[in-house]
Amino acid sequence: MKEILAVNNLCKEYKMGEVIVPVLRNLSFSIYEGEFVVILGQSGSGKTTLMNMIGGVDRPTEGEIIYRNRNIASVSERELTVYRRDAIGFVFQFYNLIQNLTVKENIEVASKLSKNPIDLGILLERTGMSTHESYFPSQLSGGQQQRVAIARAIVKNPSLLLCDEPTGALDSYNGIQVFSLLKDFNRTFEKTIVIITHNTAIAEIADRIFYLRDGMFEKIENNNNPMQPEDVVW
Amino acid sequence: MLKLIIINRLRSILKNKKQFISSVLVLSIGLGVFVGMGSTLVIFNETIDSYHYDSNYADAFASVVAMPRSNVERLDRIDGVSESLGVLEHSVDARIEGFDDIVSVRLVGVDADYSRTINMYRYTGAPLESINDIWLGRVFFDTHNLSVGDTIHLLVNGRYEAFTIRGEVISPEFMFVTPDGGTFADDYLSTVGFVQTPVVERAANMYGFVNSVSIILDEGSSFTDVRLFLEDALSHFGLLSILCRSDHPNYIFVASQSSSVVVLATVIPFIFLSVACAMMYIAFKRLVEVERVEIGTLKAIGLSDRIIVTGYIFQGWIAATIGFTLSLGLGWIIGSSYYEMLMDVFTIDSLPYTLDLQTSISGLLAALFVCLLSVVMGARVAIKVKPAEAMRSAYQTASARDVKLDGFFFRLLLETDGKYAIRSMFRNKRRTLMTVFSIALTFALINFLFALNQHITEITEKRYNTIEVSDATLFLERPGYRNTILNEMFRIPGVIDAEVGLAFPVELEFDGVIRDVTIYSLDEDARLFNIIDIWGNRHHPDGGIILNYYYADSLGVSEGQIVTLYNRQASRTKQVMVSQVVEESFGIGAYMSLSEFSLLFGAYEISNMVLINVDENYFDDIQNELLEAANVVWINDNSRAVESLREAGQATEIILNILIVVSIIICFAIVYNTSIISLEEKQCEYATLRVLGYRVSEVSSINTFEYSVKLIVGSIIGTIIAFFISPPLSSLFNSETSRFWAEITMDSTMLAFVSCTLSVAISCILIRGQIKKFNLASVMKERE
Repeated sequence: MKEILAVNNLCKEYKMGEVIVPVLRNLSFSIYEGEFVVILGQSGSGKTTLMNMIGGVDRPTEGEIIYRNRNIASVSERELTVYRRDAIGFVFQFYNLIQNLTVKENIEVASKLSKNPIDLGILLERTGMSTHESYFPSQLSGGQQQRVAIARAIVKNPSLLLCDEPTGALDSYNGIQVFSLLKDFNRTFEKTIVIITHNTAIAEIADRIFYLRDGMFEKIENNNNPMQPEDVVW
Repeated sequence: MLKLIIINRLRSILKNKKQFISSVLVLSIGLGVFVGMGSTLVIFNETIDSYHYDSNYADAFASVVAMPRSNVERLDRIDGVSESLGVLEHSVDARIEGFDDIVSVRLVGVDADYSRTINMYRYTGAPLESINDIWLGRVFFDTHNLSVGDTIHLLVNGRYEAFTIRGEVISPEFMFVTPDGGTFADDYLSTVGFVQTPVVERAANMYGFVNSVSIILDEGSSFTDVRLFLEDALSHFGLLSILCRSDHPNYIFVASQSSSVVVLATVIPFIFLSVACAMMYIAFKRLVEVERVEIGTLKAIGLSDRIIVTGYIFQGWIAATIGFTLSLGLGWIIGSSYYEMLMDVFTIDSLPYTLDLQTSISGLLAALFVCLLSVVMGARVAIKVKPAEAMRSAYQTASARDVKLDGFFFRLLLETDGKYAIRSMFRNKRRTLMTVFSIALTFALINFLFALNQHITEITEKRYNTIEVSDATLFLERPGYRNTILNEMFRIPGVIDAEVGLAFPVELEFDGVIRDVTIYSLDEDARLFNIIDIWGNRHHPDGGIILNYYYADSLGVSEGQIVTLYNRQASRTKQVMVSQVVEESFGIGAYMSLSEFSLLFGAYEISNMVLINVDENYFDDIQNELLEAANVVWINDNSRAVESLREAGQATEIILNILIVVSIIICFAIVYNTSIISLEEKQCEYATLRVLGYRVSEVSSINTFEYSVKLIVGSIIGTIIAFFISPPLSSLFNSETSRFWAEITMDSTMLAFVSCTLSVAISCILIRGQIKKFNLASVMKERE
């Protein structure tokens, strides 16, 4: 498989007053095209920080993040925006939908950023939201909102989909729905998906699992027989 | 516990310092204008009153042809008259070194012992030791940069005589000196000159006589009580006019200045305070919303509503106190500057500027009212908060009733970002309304202030461009026949056009009410003087009398009614119908046709006023030639007059410009404050858009679009408001000598729009900076 992202010696420290708190310590790994990766870790392990680094939301203190032969750790703010726009799709734990926009408009917001967007109709169909396209987020359940958020992330046709605890606020039924959808997109559109979670059960659906503890990888496991979301015991 | 709540409130202020500062800024500007201008009004009136009191300003003034000096004291015997003073006055032409134009000096006789108990003058310099010593009016002295020891040449009995300037003088009845026959004071061309009485007697050829009488009334007596007795006593000496103090031109001018300060001290601060109130309400309501979870927590641990609301009231009190304290400084700057400008015009010894205690207390009460009202209205929400609900997410939720914006028109007009902006406005309807209302109000005020400024400039120009369109106006000492005067005028090389008129003071009576009025009579088809009302309509003299609104109102007369004219000098009366009542911008006008008015003098078409248009290359020669003519009293150079009027209007123009700037700042503060609130509410959504790949400019364009819509709606409403408020507001500036009709024009509207757009643009640029500074990771984390 072709490498899409390479992280070398990544460190991130936060300054809290006089104290420097290391959050990520010398991480190195690669992610390959079409992979379904889960980064597993407890609260405070540095999962979200790592995803912010990969997603171009935050910058590392040290190290490289090579995306298609380009170190995004050292590019300008403007280039970082272009990176997020073209390469990354984000799915958040609390969906972060725009409350004042309807389902369709929330997806349109992202689609207009892309030069090569995925057809909005297809996405609405796939996410099962075509009958709710004129609903506002507050009229939807959490699971429905997260499906809209996934559609919004995928509509730009990004190379890499980053999901931060996408089922953290959902019940098991909706969680399964969301992961089924992500798996579907992973297969149908050949998208690379990185999920961070603290839920060990979810790890079973990944191709590879990164165990993160105190800012370092405890281990990285290959999963040769990933399970289907509906088979996972939550 | 209260101490902790108060500490918590102080921290809340620090946390929301931008909103706090901008709210307090608007409040302090409104209060500053109120306190500053209010204090100016008080101190200005005190200065004038104190000056009038100290100088024993007369209660009544009479002008007679000639009264033996020894007869003046007999007026004291009239019941109600306490004291009287007779002075001989006479206007002469004069020349001063280094100034080309001929000036008019009204000579006033001073007794050898300088004893005067009425209209007491004050001089600076040396006493009048010699018969050829003179004190000149202070304004004229300063305007021409004269010094003690300089020389002025007065035309006395047909030849110029040198007089040594010994100093400058002020006197309550000569604070402003209009040349004989002129309408407006001209600091360059006319002044008063105090000389020893024999000089005036020689110039006027009236030895042992006076022609100006000033009266002090007994306490408790009124002018109305003694008027008839005075008229009777003075009629033997050729009574020309008799006025009470309030009708005296100097007093009228002072009163008109005072009335313009009243508007600046009341109406405009009221508008600013209304906007401040709206803004404080928005800020406090938002604050309570933001602190909803905290309020719920406090309630859950057992704090009473009263103690929570007390905390917010404390916060309102802090805002009021800081706003009020700042307003004192701002008020001092605005008020003292304006007071200084006013005193430059009046040149009397001014009392030192202080902020008036009563006005300041009113300001403090207004500040407390505005802040506490806003806080109580905002904090009402705090009382209603239920702990369990409050601790759930405070996120605003959409509902099915939200505006869909999916009609054809919206699809055509709005992209998704646009819909986002529009729905944001509908989501916070009350805040949007308040913001639009505030923009509309400041827009209307700016529009009005621009229109008023334009109007003042226009009426100044119009006076000499469309009303008095002659190059100069001559006033003759003795009236002559129309054709004789015109023949003489056209014989002078360089005179292109000439017309005659008759300007003469008469007594105007209607239904027992009497007014002294100078009537201007003109040809019915006059070319060089047009009677034009404030709306630009031209009126022609006809068989009746045309009165301006002020005269008609004070006499209680309306069109079609008959008034009686009385020419005291010729002891003739004439009844005439009020044919038109017109609203004039400047001057106190009453007009008749020349042929009709001449009948009051027992003659046909006599005149004492000549309007001329001249070839500009000949102007100086013509002026010099005419001034040396024996019968010419004074020439009014209209180009010079327009300059004088402009200078007189400068103080008002400056203060209007200051108010425009203040309004722009207020507009900015409103937009910025509500933008900050809006940004705080939407920061997670904006951050999400940034994470999705939106550029800073694309995200900030949503805010810009939202405020552009508010600006456009506010401007449209503001224009409508401006149309409604302009007539009543401009009429508040009316005085006895001037009437204002500031019309909202395309220019003033465009200027207001540009000003408000500037405020919105600056605010949007600052908000863009805030969006750029977003730390995406931490903003996203806040959502959790």
